[in-house]
Amino acid sequence: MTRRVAAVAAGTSKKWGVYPGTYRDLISEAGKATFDSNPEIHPRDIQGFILASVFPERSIFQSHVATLAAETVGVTPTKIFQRVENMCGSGTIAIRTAYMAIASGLCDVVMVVGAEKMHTPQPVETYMNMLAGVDREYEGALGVTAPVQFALAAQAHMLKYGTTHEQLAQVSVKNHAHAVNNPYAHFPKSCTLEEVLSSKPVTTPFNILECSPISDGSAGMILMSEEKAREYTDKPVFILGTGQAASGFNYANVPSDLSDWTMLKQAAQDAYKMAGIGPNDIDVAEVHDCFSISEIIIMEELGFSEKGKGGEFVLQGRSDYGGDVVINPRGGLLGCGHPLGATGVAQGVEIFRQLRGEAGLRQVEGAEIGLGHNLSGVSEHHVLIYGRGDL
Amino acid sequence: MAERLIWDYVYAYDPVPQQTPEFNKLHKYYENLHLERLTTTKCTKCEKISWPPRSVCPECMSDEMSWVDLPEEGSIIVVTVQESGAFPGFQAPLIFAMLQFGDIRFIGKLIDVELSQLAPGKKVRLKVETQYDGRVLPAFTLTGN
Ligand SMILES: [Zn+2]
Repeated sequence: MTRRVAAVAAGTSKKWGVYPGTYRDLISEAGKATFDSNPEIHPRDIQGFILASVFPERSIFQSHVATLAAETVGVTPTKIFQRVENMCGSGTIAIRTAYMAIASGLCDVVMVVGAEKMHTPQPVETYMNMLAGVDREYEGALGVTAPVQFALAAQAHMLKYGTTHEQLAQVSVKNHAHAVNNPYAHFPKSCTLEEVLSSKPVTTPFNILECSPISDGSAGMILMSEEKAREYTDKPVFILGTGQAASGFNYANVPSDLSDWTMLKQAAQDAYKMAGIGPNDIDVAEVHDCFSISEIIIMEELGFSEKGKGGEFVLQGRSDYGGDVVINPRGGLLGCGHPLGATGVAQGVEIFRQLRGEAGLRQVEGAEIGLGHNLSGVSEHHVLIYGRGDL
Repeated sequence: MAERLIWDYVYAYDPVPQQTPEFNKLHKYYENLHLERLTTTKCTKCEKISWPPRSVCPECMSDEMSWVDLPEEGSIIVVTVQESGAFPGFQAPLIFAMLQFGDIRFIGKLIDVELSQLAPGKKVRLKVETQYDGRVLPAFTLTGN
């Protein structure tokens, strides 16, 4: 018998970007922010601990990081502790793992931390480490990078659906504007369509302002069984549904052409079905805009926009404040930065704050249901649906 | 104080795969590349052709594989030109394309082409790139080049 699970505390490190501190310092900040968000909870109340972190082996030469992180935030887990890693989607996977541990009855209280210290003293090494995230033997060895993979998806979408570069660039304009109101964003600075379109070319069609940056950052969340959650807060945020699907590590094995993300469609359908809702019920969504094209295809596969019309959807303001659904109010990966393992957890933190009415200048009025989406490639997707506790 | 280690070669920072029999069961893939042949594995039991090459068939779990040549001519599905942000050791501009070779498609690197000639549907053929130490990687160029 599965039990309902709720988030009761959440926070992020103070400022994402190039972090002036160690991996432990970064984890400490996420721990403090998370516990500070709910003073009723003490580290000794935590029974389980899940860390999302992608390549500390390369960036700080340290494995065995789940226990390191638990010790750093003062937690001594007695029911479950582990690290999860599946590249850029690791944070959402960590929250799902905590959800499973609590829903199954294994334990009542689990803390999730996502942390990534990507910048190294030698910048060349930082770039080199990103090679670990693509198929090194058959893609990375040729020089294929994530921007290249998603640029090919953009080219496919432009060819098949007539999506324009202006439409892609509008995603960056919107998300950078949102980031201005986010104190921890890596780039809290707005930009115009013209600035995006004339920024440094990376790989066609992307310019630099359409690519999420390499960032250090961390985030945390505490989840509890419904019964426990009611003891610790009047405003629990429940996980209503979740879905996950993958096919195609090497891009040869993506099951469709690169413009249709069928695995996301499947993961979203599962999550909606579990929550008993549809895309029209979502008020606010945090989605994985690693590149400008990503948000367009994600909106289509999540069912916010008609397939092939994602470009028009963003250009018409339907994914912004006052539109159908507010997408990426914290600024997305484009504006906040993308510290791999921390991103999915921070998306959850934002939905938590939005549904509790605690998002300040970023608040989506009356938000009741929110969605978090992470991806680990064009064909690997992780979806979580959250709902307010008083519904 | 620990002695400072200085190595010429660090495996963890070498992007090119190991290609010899002592490190790679699929070394035949690279040996065929040396012969300007682009090959992959075909299962001798269920006849499934996989990409990338496999040592065990993902369809029937047979470990008896044979090597087959991909068609000599493939085509560009979509292409991107990378002008910045290349990995260390790679010189921009780099050109990458989703390529179709028979029933198989994959991301390939294009070399020795004019940017103005690139377009979906254009035909390509194998053009092997030999690395500084003799290891090989597949690359492609437009047919007729
Ligand atoms: Zn077989």
